[in-house]
Amino acid sequence: MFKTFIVGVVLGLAAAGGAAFVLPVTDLHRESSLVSVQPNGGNSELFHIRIPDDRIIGGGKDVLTPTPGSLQWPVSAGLDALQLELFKLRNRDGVVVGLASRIAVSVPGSPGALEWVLHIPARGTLYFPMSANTAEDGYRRGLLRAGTGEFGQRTGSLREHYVEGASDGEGQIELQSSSLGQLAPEAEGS
Amino acid sequence: MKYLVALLSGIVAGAVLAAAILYNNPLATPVAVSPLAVSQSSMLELGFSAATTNTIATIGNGDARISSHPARVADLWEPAISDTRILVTTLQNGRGQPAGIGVKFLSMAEEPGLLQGRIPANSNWHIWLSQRGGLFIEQEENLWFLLREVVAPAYLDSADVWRGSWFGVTTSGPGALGTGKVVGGSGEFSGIEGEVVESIIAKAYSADSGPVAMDMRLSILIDDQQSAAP
Repeated sequence: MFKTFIVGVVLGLAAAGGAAFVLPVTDLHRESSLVSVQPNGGNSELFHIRIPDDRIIGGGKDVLTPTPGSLQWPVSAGLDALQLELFKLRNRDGVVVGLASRIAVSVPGSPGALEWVLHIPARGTLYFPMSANTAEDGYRRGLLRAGTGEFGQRTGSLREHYVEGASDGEGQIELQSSSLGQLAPEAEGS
Repeated sequence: MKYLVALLSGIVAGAVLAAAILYNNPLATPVAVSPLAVSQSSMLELGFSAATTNTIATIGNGDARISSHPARVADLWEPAISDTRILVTTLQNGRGQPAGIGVKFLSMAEEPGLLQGRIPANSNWHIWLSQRGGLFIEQEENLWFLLREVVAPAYLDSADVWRGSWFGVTTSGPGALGTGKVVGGSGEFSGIEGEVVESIIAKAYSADSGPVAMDMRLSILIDDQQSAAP
């Protein structure tokens, strides 16, 4: 019977060791990618952010009603010109697929700056600096500066557009990302 | 019947023994020195406190024992983002002055690693440094040693608190030397490339409220030909 016990110990060691070697520490949930293939071979993907429901954090010195109301924005001269928002990111079917951060900087007398980071777990992350100015057609545009995961080695762009909702203060941000092929060396940092 | 009981008892004992060996894995050793420590190039040092109440926001999925901060912030409960945590913090320069703001997205990685002493995670930093520009950082992290040396002892303590002094480097890639990468930037940092190491000095951790006294540091090595020191 002792030999049987020892055999069990060996089996238990092997099973636990095998599980530790093979099994991932987490099992990420992945929504289907709703990607449109463009005639030029590139990909296009539309994301939505419902305002105000999907705003997780909204803060800045000049933000009168921060999100959540208990948010304490740091008092620092260097951060006065900065506005930060964090959002849940939805695919075109309205399912939450990731998170987004939006940093806007406005300094009187300078062009200002705006940046988006779209973080989609199990897929990767996209970084888009863009123009702080809205074009005549109501869109802001920026270039894909860097991507990770499946978005690595790509060149592309992002288009931001705010769509007014039925009632005051409600609406949605539409983000249309487009990417194409391998990242050209001159595109990085352009 | 008694042989079956002996076999099952042996399997349970073997599994427990394997767990004990993995927990005390002698082949897994923490990185005690930053891979960038020997660099002669100028370094951008950014520090922040990981104590939840010292951050602007620390947000999880709401299932964890440690609640999100600030109060009434929306939890990340949706399936696609429930394994992700967000940290929003003021970043201080080497002189302890506020230098900018940082947003960290940390998602657990879908990879095995326990046998090698790894709890892998992927993280990205979105940083804005006042009057300088933006930085986008990609990291692979190993949270195993933080868990083993700080978090688990807090949970095992009768008062649910760990106190001590522990230094560790969490960055484990994707760079060949175990460094993270600056993969993008804007403003003054437009077009830069660089390496990053994130390290922790932990002094107190509570199983109920998370980090109590825990200083974090981002050491960013930027190509000298592209940007100046802080």
